[in-house]
Amino acid sequence: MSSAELVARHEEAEEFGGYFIVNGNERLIRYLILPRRNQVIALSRPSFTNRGPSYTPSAVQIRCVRPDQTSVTNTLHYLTNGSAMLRFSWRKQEYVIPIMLILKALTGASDKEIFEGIMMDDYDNTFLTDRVELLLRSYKMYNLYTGEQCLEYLGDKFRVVLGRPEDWNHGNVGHWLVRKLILAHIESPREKFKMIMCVPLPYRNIPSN
Amino acid sequence: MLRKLYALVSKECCVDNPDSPQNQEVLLPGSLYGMIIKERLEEALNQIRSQIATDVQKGQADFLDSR
Repeated sequence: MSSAELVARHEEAEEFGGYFIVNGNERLIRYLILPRRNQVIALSRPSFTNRGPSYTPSAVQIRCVRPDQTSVTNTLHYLTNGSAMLRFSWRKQEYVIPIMLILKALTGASDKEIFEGIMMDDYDNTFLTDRVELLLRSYKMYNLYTGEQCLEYLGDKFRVVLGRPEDWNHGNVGHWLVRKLILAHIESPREKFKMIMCVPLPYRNIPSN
Repeated sequence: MLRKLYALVSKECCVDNPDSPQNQEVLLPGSLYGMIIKERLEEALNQIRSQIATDVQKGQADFLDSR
């Protein structure tokens, strides 16, 4: 409404609207805000170091929204040994999984496929090559080789907390975990795999200094 | 995500500001109701499931009843 129309209705001329007086009390409509959906956000919080030994303040976070508008937040933490842990919450409880375990569980990708996927031909970046090598080497201790083995391992560990039907085998439980709680906005495991490794450009923020 | 994490650590990119509207969205009432309804329905279904499970264990459930 124009100022003249507002005044004609006994409102202030500069009135924005949006607040109300109910029984003499001022009431304000205020929206709740959430992190933007399906967008990777780089964070640095000193409190992340309290999560355990070798955790650093650096992490990237994404709030994934399922088609029914419910959401899961996945946080990828950087560790001092160069590897990364993926954190998610389920029934108000938080869990972390080494990222390599998830990459392998999603597609059963070979080490070479993972290396190439993360490097994206940027072989001169020795910082990156070192980290990826560490990531691949540190994974050897699990002795899990195929995607199905990884899913069964995850299913075995998460069977009790997820509360799935008893007649499901470990592989089913693992598959459900990856589908519903890891990057829940993407349906296809192959696409999730790609999303974990890199982000569609432009992901770079130019440093302010 | 991994590339961005490593870029962040090596100072190739800087931290995003979670307080900026660029990185925020509004929680719509419908989504909120949906979340609550989904949670309640899940609870109710789980109760039914555990009820049936205890009935079966006690031998009170008869799946072969022709009714």
